[in-house]
Amino acid sequence: MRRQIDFDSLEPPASNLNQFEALAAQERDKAVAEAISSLDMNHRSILVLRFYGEHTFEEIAELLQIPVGTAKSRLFYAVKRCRQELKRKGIIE
Amino acid sequence: MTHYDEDQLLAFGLGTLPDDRIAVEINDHLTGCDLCRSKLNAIHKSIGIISSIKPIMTSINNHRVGKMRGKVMPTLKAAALLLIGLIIGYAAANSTHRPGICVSGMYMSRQAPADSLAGCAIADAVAVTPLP
Repeated sequence: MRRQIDFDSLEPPASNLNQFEALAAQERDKAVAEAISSLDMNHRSILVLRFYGEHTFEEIAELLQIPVGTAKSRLFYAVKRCRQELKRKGIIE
Repeated sequence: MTHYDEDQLLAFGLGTLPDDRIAVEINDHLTGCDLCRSKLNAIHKSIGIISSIKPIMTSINNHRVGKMRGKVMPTLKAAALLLIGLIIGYAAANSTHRPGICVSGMYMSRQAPADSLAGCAIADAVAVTPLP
């Protein structure tokens, strides 16, 4: 008599799940890093100052000697470009 | 009901809207609009993903470049100085016909003047004659 296995009810072991998650996170991080790297220096620097340096737009404008509006529009464009790239790669919806 | 597009919601999420009044309008709209709220949630999620990556690679690259510079430049300088020393030494050894005398147990060899180490090495390799 052959054993019937319900494959739908099977779940990978917890350790494997963690490995999959780690791998997925690694792929995602790589894609984000590539998307940020593809930006030009002006937009990348705004992204870094705003997200990683946690500077305000006023501080960024002063640091880079640009108007506040320019700092805002550059951040908007930088994030928009990154999102487009991540969407294209299926990282985000 | 007019919904906001992705660009407007992204600008709202990033705080980059040019006018605060627009931000207030969007905020009011969001309280009664599930569609725009879910769009904004997705935008916030993507912003979170983008902002979670720290620019480690940049600093590592810069650090590496700095380290490479630190290693390569002194090596190049040393190599250039050695080459110059060899050339000067060789020229000095050939231009002055003052064979030095090096006495060992069995051999006498001609060598370059004492002020030219590189020339000495070349002369040693070329001219070694047995003692009479």
